[in-house]
Amino acid sequence: MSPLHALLSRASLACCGLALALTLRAEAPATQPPADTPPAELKPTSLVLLWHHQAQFAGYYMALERGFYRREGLDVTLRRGGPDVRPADELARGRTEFCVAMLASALERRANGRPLVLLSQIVNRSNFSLVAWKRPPSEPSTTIKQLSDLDGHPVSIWEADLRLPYLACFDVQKIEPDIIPQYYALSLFFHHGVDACAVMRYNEYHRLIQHGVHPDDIVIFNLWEHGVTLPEDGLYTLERTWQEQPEKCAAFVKASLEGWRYARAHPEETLDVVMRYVEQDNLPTNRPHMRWMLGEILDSIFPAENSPWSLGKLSPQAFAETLKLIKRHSSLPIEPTFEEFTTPEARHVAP
Amino acid sequence: MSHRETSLVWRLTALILGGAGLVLLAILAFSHFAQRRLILEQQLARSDALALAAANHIDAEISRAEVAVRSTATAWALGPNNRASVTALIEATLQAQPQLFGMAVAIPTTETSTDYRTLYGLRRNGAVQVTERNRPELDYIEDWFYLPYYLRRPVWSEPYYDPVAQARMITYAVPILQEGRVVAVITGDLPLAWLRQLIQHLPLDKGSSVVLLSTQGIFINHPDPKVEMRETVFSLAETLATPEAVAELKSLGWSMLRNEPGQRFYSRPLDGARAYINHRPVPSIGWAMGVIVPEDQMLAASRRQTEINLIVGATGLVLLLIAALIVAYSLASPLRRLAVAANQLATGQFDTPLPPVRRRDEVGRLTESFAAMRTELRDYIARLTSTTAAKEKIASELAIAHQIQLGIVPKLFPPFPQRQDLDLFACLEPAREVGGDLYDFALLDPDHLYVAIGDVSGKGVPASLLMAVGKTLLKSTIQAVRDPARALVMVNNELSEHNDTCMFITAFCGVLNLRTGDLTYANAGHNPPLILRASGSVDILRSKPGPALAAMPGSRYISQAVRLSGSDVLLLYTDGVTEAMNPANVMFDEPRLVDLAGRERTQRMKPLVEKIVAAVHTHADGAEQSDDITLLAMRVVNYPDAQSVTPTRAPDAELALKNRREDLTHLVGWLETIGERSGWPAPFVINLNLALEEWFVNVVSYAFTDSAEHPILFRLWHEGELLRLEIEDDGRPFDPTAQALADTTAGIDQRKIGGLGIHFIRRTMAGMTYRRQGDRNILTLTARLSAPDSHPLS
Repeated sequence: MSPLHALLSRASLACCGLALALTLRAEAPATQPPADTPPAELKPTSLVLLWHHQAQFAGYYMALERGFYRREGLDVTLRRGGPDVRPADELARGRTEFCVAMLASALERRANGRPLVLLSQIVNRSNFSLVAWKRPPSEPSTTIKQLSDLDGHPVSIWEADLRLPYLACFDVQKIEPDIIPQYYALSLFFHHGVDACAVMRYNEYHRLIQHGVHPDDIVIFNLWEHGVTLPEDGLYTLERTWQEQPEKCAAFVKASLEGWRYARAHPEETLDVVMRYVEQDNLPTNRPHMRWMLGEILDSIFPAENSPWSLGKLSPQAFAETLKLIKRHSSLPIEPTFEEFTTPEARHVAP
Repeated sequence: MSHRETSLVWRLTALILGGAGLVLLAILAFSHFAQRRLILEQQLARSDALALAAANHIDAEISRAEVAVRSTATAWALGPNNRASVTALIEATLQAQPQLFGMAVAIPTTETSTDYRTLYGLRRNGAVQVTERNRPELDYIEDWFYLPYYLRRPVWSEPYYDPVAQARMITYAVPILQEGRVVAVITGDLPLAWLRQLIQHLPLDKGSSVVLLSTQGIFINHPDPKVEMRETVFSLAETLATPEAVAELKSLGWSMLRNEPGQRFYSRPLDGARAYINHRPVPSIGWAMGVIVPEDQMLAASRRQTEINLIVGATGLVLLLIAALIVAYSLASPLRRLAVAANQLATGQFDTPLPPVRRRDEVGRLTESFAAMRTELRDYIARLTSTTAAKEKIASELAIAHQIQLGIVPKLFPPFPQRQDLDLFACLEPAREVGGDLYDFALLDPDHLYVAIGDVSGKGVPASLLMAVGKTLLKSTIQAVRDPARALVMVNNELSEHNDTCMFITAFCGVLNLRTGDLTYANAGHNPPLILRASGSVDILRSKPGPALAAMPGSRYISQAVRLSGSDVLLLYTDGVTEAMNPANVMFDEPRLVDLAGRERTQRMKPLVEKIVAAVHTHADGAEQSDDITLLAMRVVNYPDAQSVTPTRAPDAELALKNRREDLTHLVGWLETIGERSGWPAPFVINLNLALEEWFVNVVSYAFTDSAEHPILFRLWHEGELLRLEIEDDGRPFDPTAQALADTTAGIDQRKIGGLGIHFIRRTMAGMTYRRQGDRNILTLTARLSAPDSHPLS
């Protein structure tokens, strides 16, 4: 079965779950155009995305496209992230009201005194993976079969907070690979300069395949299968914003989640919109890759039957784990609490 | 055109065309596939050469840039490592290498001995501008530094879009290693405009395209601009519909990215069409280049050629069709005309023109045979017509002769209705062919009947003519000479004198005295007649026959006589009766005739004859009648003057009178009484009365010479239909019958009785005879009581 088929079948599984969820919530049907009289006055606001436009942010695009934000009385401007745009910084500097940020980095900032709060934990399951050459260029006579085989091998990993999951994983595995910084491309891995590289499963891994790496030549290790299940993307705002405009925040979260639900139910329509943003920015990506990304990200957003999380909510356990990880590799001036870090709506309360 | 003829033409044409067409198709197919292979090979070789040349060209350009950057790197390593000299080096290099857009010298942060971090030169407004940057945290995370730094070898970057240059670029980065560490990275930026130019100028056929893949599979060049820089072979493969198509394209992609040269057919993602790709590596940079020719196009030349062949072939077939039609028509046309001519011939038009013979082939020969047949047929039918006409003529002449024959013989029966005592019937049934039988009869005078029968030898008109002459001659002769023999002699002499043929007539002729029953006859070679006696016996009238008539002159004939009694039947016949044969060739023969005639003797003549004729036919039993059947039968009831003594019985009534006139009343009364008793019709009584009265008066008046009393006796006999009266007196002899004849017995001087009276008696009585017996006169009168057809007294 091609990855595409696997992707689609997983997406359709997700759609069934969504349908189930939808029946409980009695949502409006998808084909309904943005109806309902929006409030007379729309409140302008903005959202800065974590990175360049891609399917990773499909829900927000659809919330905007389908008028969910408008329905909630919000006139949202979507701004891209990228190497030159740090969402958390933009938030701190007041250049945006909302942003998408990774949990670990947001927590670290909070620990360093930045007053941001989690409105909703969108991506609840980690997407970090390691891809290794089966025949490591540094030792061509050997074979990499399991994660522990990478001990002592040159492995390229992202910098800063993106490194944390890997460090945690290496701790768990009790290995010490030779870590080389990884930036925005996997060229070093392509050029056989390292034995393994860090990938987001929803992104770089597929990129590798798209760039001609033969699946038979590589092996992938998913960190969440090796004991590291850190949640990632979440919606953040300044604490002050939340205190002053809770309805707005709630509305924003509501519309965003609805956007994600819509994306899950209408993948092709979503891809059309995503590709529009992509082509607008002349980004070197393609639809099949976006399709892959969408499918993978939805899997990490919407809980499956046996998934330990619920949509949009952060559990105290995940919070604690993330905090522990951060503390492992860096010192935190203060230790934020679950309650102060999260808004009530973002909290997963165990039944 | 008749249906049959159409199918000949079209069948022939179809066969020729079909055969030729099949052969042509076979040749076309073979040549199509042969030249297809050939053309394919040509095309493949061509695209091969093209790909190789293009790849080499690109390689050359890339290599040139590599060399330029490497030599700068070498120069840097050799030269002073300060801002000024490095700037100068950059400027000089860019001046010397117009294909490079920019150049950079970057010192890693670990090196602290230089007075600059990053120097970057580029062309702007036609001049080279070198600027310094000190943002390693931003710059050195880019591939152009990062890769060579960690790989520790020169490396080309992936193509990217440079917004400053507003061009697509690749960057060659050369690390300079000293003492095991990277001390600098020298880069050169190569814009790719020349690449597009190169590709555009490749001598490709329309429909062909070039793809260029980077080391990471990105399309640097693709016929679809949207694909360039965005899609890879594998991302395109992911859009394909079937797993087979995906696998095929991925396999192709991996082969190309492994820098393998190759040629293969594959399905284009664009439209699924089969295309041929010839891919070669650009070794210096690790790109893969492919020249793609759609299969359609490759085979286009072949197809064109085949199309031309087809058109030529089709034209040839059309010409062949025309030729075949001409041939078929040239065959069918004369055949058709022959068929039309045959139909006309069948209706009898023998002058129907036949199609002209053009050539001496089968059709020509057929036409000639046809003409010969026509001539033969015409002549044959002409002969047949004349023969038939001749036969019809003969038949009509025969019919006429037949009519003559039948017309000559008397046919009206009963011939003598006033003669109650004479029953005569004759018939002549002719054979199919006109024969020469004849019969004849006539009353020569009231007391003499002439009968004759004859048979002319031969058949046909001459026979019937001879018969006509003979019959007429005989009748007229007999009327003159009354003697059969003499008549035969005269007729024979007459006939044989003019007879050049071998024909002859057998004949029997006779004259019968109707008063006495004496038959005088003569036979000229004919069958002896039969006399059927009243007593029951059958006499065959054998005679001493003379030769047939008309055979030779001077033949002698003898008359003979025979006495017929009353109710005897004279039967004349010809050999058509006795010699009638049945299918078993058994003749009817004389004994059978004798036997039959004897049995039927009591019949009237007509039934008798008819019975005999019927018996002959029965005997013949369907066999053809070869000769005329002729019969003549005759019977006289009573011969009044018959001299043969028939024992008389006692009279039925008697009357004795005296020769006194007053006794007449007794006579009248006597007659009336008898008449009443016997039921005589009144007119009969009256006439009888008158006749007897007349005689009585006559006797009383003239028979006696003295005045004595004399008896006059009347005696009466009933004899069937006849009444016989005898009147006896003893007067002077007086024979009233002699009055009519020129008789020499009229020597007796007698008073002439009123002729009227005797005439009356003679007329009213059936018979009157006289005899002198001793001294007595006996007058015997016979009166017929009933006459079947006509009453003489009415």
